[in-house]
Amino acid sequence: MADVYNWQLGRKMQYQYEEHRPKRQVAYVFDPNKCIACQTCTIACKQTWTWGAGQEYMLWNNVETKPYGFFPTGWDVMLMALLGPGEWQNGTYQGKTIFESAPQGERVQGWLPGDEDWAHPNLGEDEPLGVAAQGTYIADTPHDMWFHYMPRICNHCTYPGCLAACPRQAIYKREEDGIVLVDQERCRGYQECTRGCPYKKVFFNNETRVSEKCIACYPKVEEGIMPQCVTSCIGRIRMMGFISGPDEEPDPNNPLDYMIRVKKIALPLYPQAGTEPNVYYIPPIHVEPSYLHQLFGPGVEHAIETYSTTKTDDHLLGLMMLFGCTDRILHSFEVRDGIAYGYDDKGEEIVSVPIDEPTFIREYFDEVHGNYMMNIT
Amino acid sequence: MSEQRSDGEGISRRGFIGLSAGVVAATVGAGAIAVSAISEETTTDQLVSHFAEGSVPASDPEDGRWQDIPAFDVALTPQQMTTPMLQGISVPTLQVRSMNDGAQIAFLLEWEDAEQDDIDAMARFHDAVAVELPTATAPTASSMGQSGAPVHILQWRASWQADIDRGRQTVEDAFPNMYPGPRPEDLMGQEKAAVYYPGVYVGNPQSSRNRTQPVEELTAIGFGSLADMDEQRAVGKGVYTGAGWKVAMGTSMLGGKDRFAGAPKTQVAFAAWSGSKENRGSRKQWADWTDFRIEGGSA
Repeated sequence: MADVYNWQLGRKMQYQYEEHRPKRQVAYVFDPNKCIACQTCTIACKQTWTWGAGQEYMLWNNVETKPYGFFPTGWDVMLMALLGPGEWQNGTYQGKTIFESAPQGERVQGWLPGDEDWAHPNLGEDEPLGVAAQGTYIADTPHDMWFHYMPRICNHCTYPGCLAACPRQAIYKREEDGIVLVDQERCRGYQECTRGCPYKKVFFNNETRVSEKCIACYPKVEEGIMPQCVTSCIGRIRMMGFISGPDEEPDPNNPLDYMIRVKKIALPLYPQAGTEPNVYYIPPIHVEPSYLHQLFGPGVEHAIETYSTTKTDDHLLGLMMLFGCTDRILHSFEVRDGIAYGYDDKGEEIVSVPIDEPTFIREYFDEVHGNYMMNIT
Repeated sequence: MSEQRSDGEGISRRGFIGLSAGVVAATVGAGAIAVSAISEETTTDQLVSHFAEGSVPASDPEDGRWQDIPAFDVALTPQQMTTPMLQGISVPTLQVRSMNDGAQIAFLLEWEDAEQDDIDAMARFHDAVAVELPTATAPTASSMGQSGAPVHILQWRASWQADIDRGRQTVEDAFPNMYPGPRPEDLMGQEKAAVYYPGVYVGNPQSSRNRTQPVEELTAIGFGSLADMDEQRAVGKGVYTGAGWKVAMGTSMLGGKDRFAGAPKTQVAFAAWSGSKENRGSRKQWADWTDFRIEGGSA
């Protein structure tokens, strides 16, 4: 085991291998506040990558309802049970990670879901926490009763649990972009990766008998295009790009750096697992903060507070408007004169969008037809 | 730990014609695990590969000649040298026999296992057994060899045996009640659909759809280095008796790169996996080197 630095935990931790960060690290920001669980991302991924025999149960991308939804069943409940309670003090995690809590003889603290656990991909859909009394009207956030959607893919972690768990180094992290892949030639199907991934995002292919996982659509990324789950999102809740390392100054012109490291509105999922996941979530503002702390760590209040200022912060608002406006990877952005601009890695403009779109007011009463108009969305 | 439970010298190095007809009848007649009739006579601390004229039953665990030679009990212990380790043991003993004809060496391995695990699927693992042989004259680590001194491994898997016996086992064999939707090959034909089966497409032996033997030959130079040999010469067959497995397997003794080349005095090691106990990879029970004497036809 080696001492490595995990910036999300605010401390060093133990890992199977020495710290080695890629030249650049793929990262995503998901905004569950805008997710409607339409599963377009899920289907886009499935139809692209996992519609072969043996992959029937695989959802490299899934959208589950929290707190009662899971895929596989109970994945994060199991994770929390295995890790036990862990406190944060001044931004530093005091508990143990999946690596530090590994029992004697194990490489990571993990568990292996059975086939039944994979059989209910949308268990708990739209199940709220709490019961609404007759006449309940919810006016403020956080809500007294709530659920939220949680879109999930592989986190392409800096310290992947799957990679640490594989006893034959059949999983690797690409030097050029940090994408984590299962070597399809080298895997012998031990399923230690599935057992070791805290997010349960590595899957055994029942036909080819080796494991597979989200590949971050690397053929697209290599062409400067965002992955399928991002470009297909009709709610425009996702952005993919690259994040700088903790030993580098965050670049405020880099959309991912800006949201994650400068404004800190997007947070890692279950950072206490210790894998330094690279999918970051803007916390759903209507959800009970204590639950969000468990999901995203101690930065929740700051993230929600900052996110709530978006409408008065043209720079942040402009960046938010760039979500889903292009399929090209944004390496930098700027906002000027009411327009948000996105640029590629050469600084060439890819897209521009107004931060205030024209607004049309539809009259409540349609005098032409003599009836009242109703909003249905 | 390990013991030879017969008088190996009592068997002709030219074959098995020196055995008394009575002993043969007693052992064959006693059934699948019927070696005890001759196995309690004497003990030695080495396994002997008995010389057989003509050929060896490397792919026939039911061949009567196996019962003509003594069994050697190999005590297995949980692998706890590297992670992940095996915490409990489910296969404490392997019963081993070996014979050779000067060109091929074969083993019969028997062990008790109440469950027949021969499907590979999510969270389902196969029963398996392996024989490990050194490839260099210098000593090497039984723990998967070492740099400069690779080991030659023969591994039999119950799931590969099922592929041979029942045809290539698919996801429908693992989940017979599933409803499969349209698949790439249904819409674009096998050739174009090949890319949707990455393990098959890149030629990973785990994904082979044209398996002809339930045994793989592998080489290793330490933990995590296990690799399929380019040339596969091994043959084998396993049968489930209702109470356990009887597996015969063998390979050439002619040598070659990273291959066992035969030697009058060498070593051999073993490992076994129980699928229903989630054994796989290094979660196995194993035995350290056992002295191994290979009888030659002209000795």
